[in-house]
This record gives sequence, C-alpha cells and structure tokens, in this order.
Amino acid sequence: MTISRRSFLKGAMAGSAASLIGPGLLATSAVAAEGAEVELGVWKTSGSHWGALNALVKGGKVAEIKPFGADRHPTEMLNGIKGLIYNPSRIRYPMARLEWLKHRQDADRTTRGDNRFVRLTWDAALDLFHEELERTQTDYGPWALYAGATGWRQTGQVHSCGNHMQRAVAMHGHFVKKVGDYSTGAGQVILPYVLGSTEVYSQGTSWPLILENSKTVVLWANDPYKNLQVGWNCETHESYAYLEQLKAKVADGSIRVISVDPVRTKTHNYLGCEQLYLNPMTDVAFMLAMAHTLYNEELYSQEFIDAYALGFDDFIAYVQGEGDDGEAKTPEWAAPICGVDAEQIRDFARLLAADRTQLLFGWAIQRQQHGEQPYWMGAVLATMLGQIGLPGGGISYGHHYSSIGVPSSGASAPGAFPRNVDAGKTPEHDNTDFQGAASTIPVARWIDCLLNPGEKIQYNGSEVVFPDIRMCVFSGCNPWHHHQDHNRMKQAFRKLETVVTIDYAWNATCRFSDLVLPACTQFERNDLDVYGSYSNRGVLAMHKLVDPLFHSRSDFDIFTDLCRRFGRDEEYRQELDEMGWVKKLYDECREANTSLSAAPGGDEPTSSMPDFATFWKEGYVDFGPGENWVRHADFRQAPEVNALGTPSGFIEISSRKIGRYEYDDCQAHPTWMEKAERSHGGPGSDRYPLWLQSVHPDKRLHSQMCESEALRATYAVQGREPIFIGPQDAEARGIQDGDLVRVYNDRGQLLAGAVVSDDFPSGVVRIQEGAWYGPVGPEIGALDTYGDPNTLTLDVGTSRLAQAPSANTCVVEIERFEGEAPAVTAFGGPIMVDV
Amino acid sequence: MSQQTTPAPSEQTAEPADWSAIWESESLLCGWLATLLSAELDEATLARYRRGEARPLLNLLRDEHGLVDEVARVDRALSKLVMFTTPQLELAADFAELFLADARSGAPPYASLYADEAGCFHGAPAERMEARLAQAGYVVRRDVGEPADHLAIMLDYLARRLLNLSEAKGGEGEALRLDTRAFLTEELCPWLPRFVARSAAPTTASDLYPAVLALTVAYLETLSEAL
Repeated sequence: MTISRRSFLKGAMAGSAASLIGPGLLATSAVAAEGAEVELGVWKTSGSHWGALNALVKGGKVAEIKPFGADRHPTEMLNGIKGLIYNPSRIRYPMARLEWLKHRQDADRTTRGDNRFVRLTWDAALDLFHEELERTQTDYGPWALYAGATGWRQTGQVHSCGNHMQRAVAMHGHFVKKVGDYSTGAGQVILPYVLGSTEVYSQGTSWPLILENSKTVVLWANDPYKNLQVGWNCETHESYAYLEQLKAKVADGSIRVISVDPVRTKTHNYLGCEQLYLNPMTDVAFMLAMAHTLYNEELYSQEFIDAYALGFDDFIAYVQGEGDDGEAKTPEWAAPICGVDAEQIRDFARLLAADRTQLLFGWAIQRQQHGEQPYWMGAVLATMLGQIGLPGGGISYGHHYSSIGVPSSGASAPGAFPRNVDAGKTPEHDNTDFQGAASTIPVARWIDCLLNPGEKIQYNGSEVVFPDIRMCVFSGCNPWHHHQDHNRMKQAFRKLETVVTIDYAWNATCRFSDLVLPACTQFERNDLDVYGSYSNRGVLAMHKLVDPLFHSRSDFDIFTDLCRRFGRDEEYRQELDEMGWVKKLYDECREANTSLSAAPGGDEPTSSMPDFATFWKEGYVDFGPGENWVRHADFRQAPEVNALGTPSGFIEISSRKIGRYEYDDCQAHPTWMEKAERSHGGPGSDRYPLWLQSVHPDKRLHSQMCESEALRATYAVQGREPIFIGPQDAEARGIQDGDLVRVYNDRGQLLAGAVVSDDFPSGVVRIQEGAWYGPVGPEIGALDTYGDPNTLTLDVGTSRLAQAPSANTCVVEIERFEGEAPAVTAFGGPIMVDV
Repeated sequence: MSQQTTPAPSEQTAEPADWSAIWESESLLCGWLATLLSAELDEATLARYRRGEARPLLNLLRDEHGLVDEVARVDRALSKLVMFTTPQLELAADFAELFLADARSGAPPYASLYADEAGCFHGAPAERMEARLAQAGYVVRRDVGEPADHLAIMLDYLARRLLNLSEAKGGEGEALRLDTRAFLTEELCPWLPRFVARSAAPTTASDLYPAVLALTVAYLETLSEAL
C-alpha cells in the first residue's frame, strides 16, 4: 500500500497526469473572516415593476426584501423577488445551440426549442453575434434583420434593455422595426382617428374627481384591482387608496359601480359592486343597442354632438337600420347576440344617461378580432352621453394601468439611456435599401412576415410589403410568451437563420434561440427610476444589491462590448460608465425641475432635488402629490383652440379617413361584425363551445415571475397553470376542482389544472397569459405541458386598420386528462430528445 | 485512525500506513475530480485523456479504492468517443446539458439546489461553504463566477484540506482529520445521491460525465470511510 502510494505520487508528479489537475478555483483571502459587522448587513433601496423596496444585503446575498415605506399597498408579488434573483432558471453563461454552432445558417432548424446547447466565453459569444450581424448586413441587407421587438423589460432608466440593444444594433446597421405593441395594438391605432390621441397611455381624470362627481362608474372589461399591482416604471400603488374609497362609496350607495364583464372579476369581488353579464365578444352589439335607446328615447346630448363631434348622422343611420345592412340595432336585435334582455339593455343606457357617468375601459377587450370596434363604440357612447371633459364623466382607457388617474406632480421624470444613434453619426453599414419591402411592420404580424415574405398587407391606410427576415434579436422581450398560435410560430421559426436572445431566465424564447446571452437582473446593477409612471411622485435610487450572478452581465456591459467589436464602444456609452450615466440622468432631471426659488431673496434658479450624492445616499426624492385634472376638459372648454388630434379637430363618430381606406373589417363608423370564432352560438361554437380568455395574470407581470416556485405554489394546480371554469361546464365534462385537463382546439393542445369557480359563467374559461410554454417536443402540435394559452390562440390581425393581436378571439374544448401526464418542461431544458 | 476498508490486493506485509502519502494522493484525486467537474474539456486536454494520461489517477481509484466497475465505466466511455465526429463538442454539450443549462433540468452541481427545500441558488449550504472557506483563509476566485456550493469548489476545498492533513502532525492533524470528515459527511455526501439521480434524467451523447459522477460519488464514500 505504501509502496504503490509513494510510487503513484512520484509517477504522477513526474508524469503528465499531474497537469490534468487544474490550479483550482480558490484564492487566498487577504481579509480574515469578519465577525459581527458583516452579519448585520446593509439596507439598500431599489425598485421594480412590482413596486419599490428595501433590501437587506448580508454577506453578498439578498437576505430580506421589505416593501418601501411610502408604498401603502404593496403587492404580494414582492415576495417573489428574492426567488427571481436566485432562481434555478437563471441563465448563467452565454450559450449557443450546438447544431447552429456547427452549421450556422445551414443548421437544422426543425429542432429549435428542443436542443443541446454549449457554453461559450463572452468573447466567443459576442464575436459570433457580431459575425452574424455582419453576415446579415453584407450577404443580405437591413431588410433581413428584425431587431425591433420590445417587451416589458426590467425597470431602470439607465439599463432599459431595449434601448441598449437597439442603439448598439443601430450603430452597426439599419434593421426592420415594428409599430404598435401587444398591450393596446388596436386601441392605439383607432383612437387617434376618434379622440385625437392614443388615449391608452395618457393620464386620465383624477380619481378624487371621479369619487366626488361620478354617480355611476362603469368598469367595462376592466379589472384594475388585479392589474394595478404592476407598473411600467416603479409602481407606487397609489391607485389602491382610491379603490378603497370607491369600495366605501359602493357600500354606502353613493356610487354605483357596474362591471360589464362575463366574469366576476377580482375588482368586482373586492368592490362588492354589480355585474352586467354579456356574451363574450358581443360588447359592440350591446353598445349599438344602447346607442339606439339613447337616440330613440332622446337621452343623448345633441348639443354636445353639435359642438364637439362630427359624423353622427351616418352612424345613427346605421343604428336605425338605414344603412346597407338594413338592420336596426334595437335592443331586441342585440339581445340574442349578447345574452342580455332587451329591457336590461335599455335600462343600462338610461342609467348611464341619468347622471354623471365615468366609463373605464380595460385593454383585454381590444385584444380580439375587430378590437378597434369596442373602443370606437365606447367613445361614441361617451360622446352621446355628452360628458366628455367633465369631472367624473367621459371615457378612459387606462385607469387600470400604472396608476393613471393619480394626479401628476408636474415634475419632470428622468430621461433614459438613448435608443438611437447619436446625431451626426452613421451606422457601420449605412445601407437603407430595404428592396421595396417595409422597414417597419405591425408588431403582431411578424410571424405572417416570416412565413410570407414579399406579401402585401394593408395597415392603417398604407400598404406594407413584408421583408424577408433571416435574423432576429430579442432583448428583454419574450415573443414565445406574448405571440399567438405557438405551433404556427414553430413553423415560422424554421425560416430564421439566426436568433439571438438576451435575457436573464430560460424562458421559451431562449429555448428557441441559437445564441443566448445572460443579462443580469435589475437588482445586480445601479440605476434610477421615476417613482410613479404617471403620478411622477418622485425619483427612486436603485442601488445594486449584489454583483451579477454567475457570468451574467448588465445589458450596458454586453452591448458596450459588442460595439467594441467595431471600434465604437466609447461612442456607444458616450464615454460614461454605469454610475456616470446614473448621475447624468439624475442631474439632467434636476436641471429640468429647476424653478425660480420662492425663498426670500431668491431669484436664483433652484431645484427641489438634492445633489446626486445626497440623493444616492438617501435613496429617494419626493415631489409630493399632484393636482386634480380632468381629461379632455380643455377641449370641452375651447374646442377650436384645444382641437383634438383627429383630422377635423373634433370627435369623429364617423371617420371619413377610415372610410376612404375601404376596409371591410373596419369601416367608416363602428359596426357589429361577427367573429371568425365565437362562443355562445357564434361560429365554431358547435365544436368548441368554450370561450378562452387569456387576461393579464394576477401573480405575475406577464411571463415575469412565472419561474418563481414560491409564487407558483400559491396558484398552480398539479404543477400546471390553472384554468378557471364554471361549475356548470365542469360538471358537464366530469371535471372536478384540482383535476388535470387537456384544453384543445384545431390549433393546439395544452395541459392545465382545473379551478372550478362560481365567478365563471357557462361557456367562459380563463387561462392567464404569461404561463411559460413547455411543449413535449419540437413537433408542430406537441402538447404544451404547463399551460400557455397562446398555444391555442388565433393569429390574425384585428383588422386591416390596426393589424393588432386578436388573442381573445379563441374558442376551445376541455376534457379531463386520463393516464400518465408528461412532466412539466417549461422550467427545465433545453432537453435532448435523442442523440 | 481508521484504516482503508478495502486492502490493496498487492499488500504483502503490514507496514505502518504512510498517511502523509495517502492524504497527499487523495488530495490529488480530489483536485483532479474538481477540475473535471469545473469546466468542459478543450481539444488538447481531451486528446490527452484519450491517450491515457489519466491512467495513474484511474488506477489509484481502481486499485487502492476498489472502484473497479466505476473506473471501467469511465474507460469505456473514453474509448467510445471514437464514434463521434466532433467528440469535444459533444462532450461540451453533455457538460452543458448536465451542469450549465436551466438548473431545473439536468444535474446542476450546487448543494443549495438539493439540500434546500426552496431549491434556489445561494441558499444556506452556499453560506456555510463561504464561512468554511473564509475560516480556512480562502475565497472563490472572482473570475470563477460561481457560488461556493458548486461541487467543484467543494472538491477543491477538500483537496486543500487533504493536503494540509498530509503535512499536519499530532493533535492538529487529528482535529483536521475530524473536521474534514465532518465536511464530507455533512456538506457533501447528503446531497450527492439526489444529484446523481438527477444526472440520469437527460440522455447525454456520451456516458463520460455520468460515469465521472458515479466515480466521484463512490470515491467520496470510500474517502469518508478512510478519514
């Protein structure tokens, strides 16, 4: 024994085996282990879509997260943040799909989504990224590169990831961009024609004025209590205080709140308000019948229409049955379509006209085929009611979003890291020849574009020729979450030569990519943000909590390094480092908020904001509350001077401009049009009788935080995404609460966990969007194991006007799943099927 | 002091055990396994393995530790590499699939993912490991970019303790031996069986890494008995 050990040591030391042993992974520590001082930790401030927070960092680790003191209504999703940072789904290293690495543009693309990856060094990964950009610009042209997609990113004005990616790629060459988004695609296109602005992202009438003046508040397909948990910037949750007051007013009867919705929503249950059920996707028919009532019972305001609107006559002729279809839009006509009694329709119209009424529309309703129509029709109803521009009257399309309705402080918010190339600079490849194809496409038609290059479509009055895209770059954007009909996407992805994704978690988009670069979370970098996207309540410091985990890097670092490959890294970052940018954006904000001092003897400009060092130490600057404000009041007060942005400057009940486009799916005034598929007696309901609504989730931000085990434990059913189903439909199918079910239609199939709930009527089921896609394999039609509703949804444009997503036009059937269920693959992978 | 439970077949006379040599050689074995599990093999290093340069290490494991089957499995896996056109890439993909990709699949080698109910990175096992390292005067090298509960880091630490043990005398050596055994039995061995079970789930192209894992776990068992 001794002899062989000694001879091993002599042999091993002398021979080459010893050098198979590396130098090790440890270094000696210059600092002796600290005692109690390190143990106490340090409290830091940061923010997120879910709100501001204080975090205790001990020993280089986030130990505890507490809601920010100023936040009176923190969301429970804050509990998911620690799990987000340390989540097993974190992307830890740059990785490349092996098949793509070997064969690049000639690789087998049918195995995307179910592939083996290898690790790369950052240098190798960025070299490849640069090479592919070069190849695409050189062998093809700007028409072949799609880098326009954006998503909800993480918060922070310096590190806004879409800006970093698009600036860097734009410095290299031109590329195909997109117009629109998945949130409000139809709404933001139609409303400028009708009310003169996109409306959906605009500040709205202040809540105090609604609470004080409205007698009736209508939540039209709107669930603010659920949706206000998250915000575009650091969410303040200020709206919740007003929802509390609204709840009290419902209780004491001073305000009637009516939720027009087939489902009893979270807001409905919170407020204890009334519900008006109607069949899914029939709101326009319902509203037309209301218009008929208002007109024929002379409950509408002709004076308001005369002073502020155009196009009423053509519209009302249609309503009266004097249009081409000869069908009067009476409540009797609407009743069988909507599933609402004719008299109930009349009563509702009378109620809204009786006193001050505030209409609050949600966004999900315009995410259906012909989604322009319910928004247009809502504006027409509001016009007929004549209360637009009055406190607590009129219509809003955003009170459920990022605390719109909380008065704005009037302060300027910090700017952001630039998205574009600096003025006077040109890209490396300054080729703007898109070869007759569009350089901008409607965002939700990108899969059509991949499948049918060269095809011509109509969009918002113009012709768009689809470019022949070969390469895509996605940064903090998860199209495999938000786009419809995943099986169709699988087909389209076979077209792509190169897909580069920058993200921090292994979501489905990463698994369908060729090159995956790990960004760090917002908690691993320094930044600043506006506190309150619309209230502009303050400016929040976002202290880095811990260093980037594993080999992840900030987007700032990643793209600086990419630009180094073509010698323009200094230009990219304008010679500033991260803290340089934080300070620059803060100082510029401070400058913008400068005013003449009211202090005695002061006519020097001063700012209420402290210097940067003080701000960074204290973590927050408060601008104080804002003043109440009424949307459209200035227009109402002086319509000529404060004209709307419509072609005429007035509200356009009928639009000549849209009429000239001659789109049969979006005509000169709101019309009722049957959908491609619809439940409750509509097309396709004989085979697929259930309407699938895919609303924004209650315990995620879209797909963000789906990876949190702690949060999923509070809602998943048998490890799958829940599907909410009413007791009648469940019983008819032998489904019990907690059962595993297969949900399917002609487009796909998925597994989900049944939650039987009284909140859901017959014919309506719900799967919340953002559920991570995890198919059993790369085949078209493969069963999704976790329950992503976009496995089943329809991929058509809302109409030729907006070409927006139609996710909520979707019918399905459900059955109890029998037998051995495949394991959930959404949170694991890439997986190897066979060698 | 305990003796090895599997005496070498070649043992002839009862010579006093040369524990210094034993611990030093164990240190090399740990260091070697740490290296194998810390990063993919590049072309040059893979070629050396295929030429048999790891033979002394494998022989020691086979003969002195009795790990005949485990070593044979590694040998077989190495010889079968001849079937691949790009063995280095395939092994890198295997390594990635097991250890580097989404940590919910494969067998990511972090104690926190197995020992902790929460199953997240940087859990209590990582904190304990950091404290251990600090007490011994080490930190994880910054460029490594891994939490301290990575198996390779734990093996590296073990290797250094064994080297210290080979040089230690008397009471100090005894304390070190006990502490090293405690480390093995409390911090490493508890999660390794689950880790190896996880590694069986993906279908790797080559059996090499699964074989190395099996070898590592079996070896550590014999080591804990020896300590």
